[in-house]
Amino acid sequence: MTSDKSALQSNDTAEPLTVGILSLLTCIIKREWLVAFRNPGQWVNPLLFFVVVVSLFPLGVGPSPATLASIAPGVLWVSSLLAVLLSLGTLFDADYADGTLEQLVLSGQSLPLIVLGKVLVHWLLSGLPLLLVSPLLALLFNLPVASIPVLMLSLLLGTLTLSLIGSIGAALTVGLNQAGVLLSLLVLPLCVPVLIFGSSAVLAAASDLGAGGQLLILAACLLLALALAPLTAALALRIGVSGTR
Amino acid sequence: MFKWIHRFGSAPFVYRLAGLLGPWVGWLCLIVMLVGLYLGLIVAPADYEQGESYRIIYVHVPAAILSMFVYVVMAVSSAVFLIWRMKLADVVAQASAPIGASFTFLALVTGSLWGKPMWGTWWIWDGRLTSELLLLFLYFGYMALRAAIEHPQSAARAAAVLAVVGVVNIPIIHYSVEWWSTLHQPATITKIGKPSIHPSMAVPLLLMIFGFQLLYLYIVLLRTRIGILQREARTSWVANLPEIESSGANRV
Amino acid sequence: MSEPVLAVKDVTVWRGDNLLLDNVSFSLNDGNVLQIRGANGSGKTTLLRIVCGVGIADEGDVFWQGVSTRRNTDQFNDALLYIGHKAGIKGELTAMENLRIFCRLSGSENPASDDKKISVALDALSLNQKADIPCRHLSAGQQRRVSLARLLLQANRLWVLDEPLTSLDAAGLSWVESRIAQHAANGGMVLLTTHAPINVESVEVNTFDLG
Repeated sequence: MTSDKSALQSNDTAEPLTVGILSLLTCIIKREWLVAFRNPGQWVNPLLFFVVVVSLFPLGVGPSPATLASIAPGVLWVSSLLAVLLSLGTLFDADYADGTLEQLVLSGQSLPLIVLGKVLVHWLLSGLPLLLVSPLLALLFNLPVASIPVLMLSLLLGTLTLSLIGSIGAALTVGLNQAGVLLSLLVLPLCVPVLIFGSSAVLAAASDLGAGGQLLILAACLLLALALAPLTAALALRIGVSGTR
Repeated sequence: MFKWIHRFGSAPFVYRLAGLLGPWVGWLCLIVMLVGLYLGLIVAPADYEQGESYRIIYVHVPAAILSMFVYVVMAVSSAVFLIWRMKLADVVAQASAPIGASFTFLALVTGSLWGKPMWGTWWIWDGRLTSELLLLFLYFGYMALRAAIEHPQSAARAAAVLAVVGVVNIPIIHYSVEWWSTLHQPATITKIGKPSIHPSMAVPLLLMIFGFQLLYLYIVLLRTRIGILQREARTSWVANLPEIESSGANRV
Repeated sequence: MSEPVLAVKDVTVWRGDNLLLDNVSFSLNDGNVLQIRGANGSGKTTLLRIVCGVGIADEGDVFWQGVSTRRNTDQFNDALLYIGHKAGIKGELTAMENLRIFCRLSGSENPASDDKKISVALDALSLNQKADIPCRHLSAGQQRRVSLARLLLQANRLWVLDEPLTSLDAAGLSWVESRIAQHAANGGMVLLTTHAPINVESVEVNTFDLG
């Protein structure tokens, strides 16, 4: 309490009070990780959703192995797209509800970096589990074993991109009532390229064709999203936070 | 230069300008469209492959072109609104969205009608039609986001961000869909060859495209005037407008 | 006389067809404490949010050192400590963890000294027994104390406090009042809303009535 006066004045003249990039990123990642860890439902539910939706297709389409194998890439990809988007609804909502979001916005630290940290943790908890169970589901759908590495690689690149694109939608709809449905409406058209190249990579691999081109395009999409999505989402968050009373 | 931009930021000025231009644009649009339709539907010869049914291009192609064009206008004015906080740019973007969505819908319906005689089916997952469909979803998203956010300024800015994100994505979506459709349907459909179109068909087509642009301009001018009135309803210049005063709307 | 440090000029806010804030203007200089008063729904929270930059005014602007806060946002955010209507702490995290994040976000890169400062602050707010319990298990008053502990940890020049005294007991109340007095005596600025009049020794509290 004694150093208040000097501290107050130094604030104003000294360099801006920003922390280093890594230091900020680790702080956010640690925070998100702890919060998620004490809220297990958050990362289990998308995974369950994915497994259940994928399992519904044989019931709807019929159990013929040939049919299942031919629709498998699309089914796995559409289901993971939906699972990622559904789980994204909660990306900023909890922070919005308890007021920590406005504190993050007002902290004077780089908001895009904060968004990036949040998205990374979100992906680790929702995208990565999908990736890990996908081989099992692929086998249920009679996909050739040889195509499984391509499936996983395409999901790795694709779900990260989807999380990044989705963060823009989540930021635009923060604090709204029907945010979940609206988020999907906003973001799904933007996800089409990822869906096309992701499922086509798996399709190519399943029919013994090279999937290198599709995977490279997915990687390019990821890099583009990595560069632009956090900036856009940060802008959208500033707007979203200020739109409320 | 700066003063000139400033004038376009002034709501009363734009309101009056739009009111002045509106009727002229409307009449010109009517004339151009009537001439275009006459030349296209009556004067131009029938196509040797598709017979009379090709004539739907005089509606389909302009609608498709305008559907993209309007989105670009919307995104550019949204960017202007975000960067320079020019409120009128947002009025234009908001006014454009339903018009663009209507053009997109028209392009989809006419494309589907055209598809029936050409492909024997109402809908085919052709690259262009699929892109149009996704474009329609983008318009829906824009309008839904706008409607969902209660605070008008916040809604305007969020929707503007979405429009800009959309316009960055449109080329990516378009080319990935093109690639996807060629992958799944190896060249069974021959599209009308653009370069070989005969002048007797090209002239009415160009006229119709111009006419559709005028139509868009006409509606956007009308809707911009309405948008300005809604936003500026509390100001004295709106209350003092002769058309408002005579209607007695603001009398208490 | 130069520009005031914080100046709010002609802020006007409409809610639908109702005028919520009508041309509100005031200013603050170093050492000032300003209390915004008004009935429920008179726009106190809205006004504070606009001052901080997390609310939009239909007209008017907020100036920090003579420049609109929309232009020097980074500088303004560095000087600002805002404790809003919502406590701004994560229920899943303990008081310690929450405050560590605030220290880091306010620019500190020294975890060891942060922890020391945080335990001092928690002691001062008699929260030291509760430091390792997730905040959602604390009472409303205790949660409020956790967020108020930031007043000891962050050396920001401008405090904007929205109803800081809600759900505090007498001890907490006088602690906050003494903090405000000390901050003002050190040349800081405080902008706050309360229902009850506050009792700050040795510093003049200006008031501003809304609606």
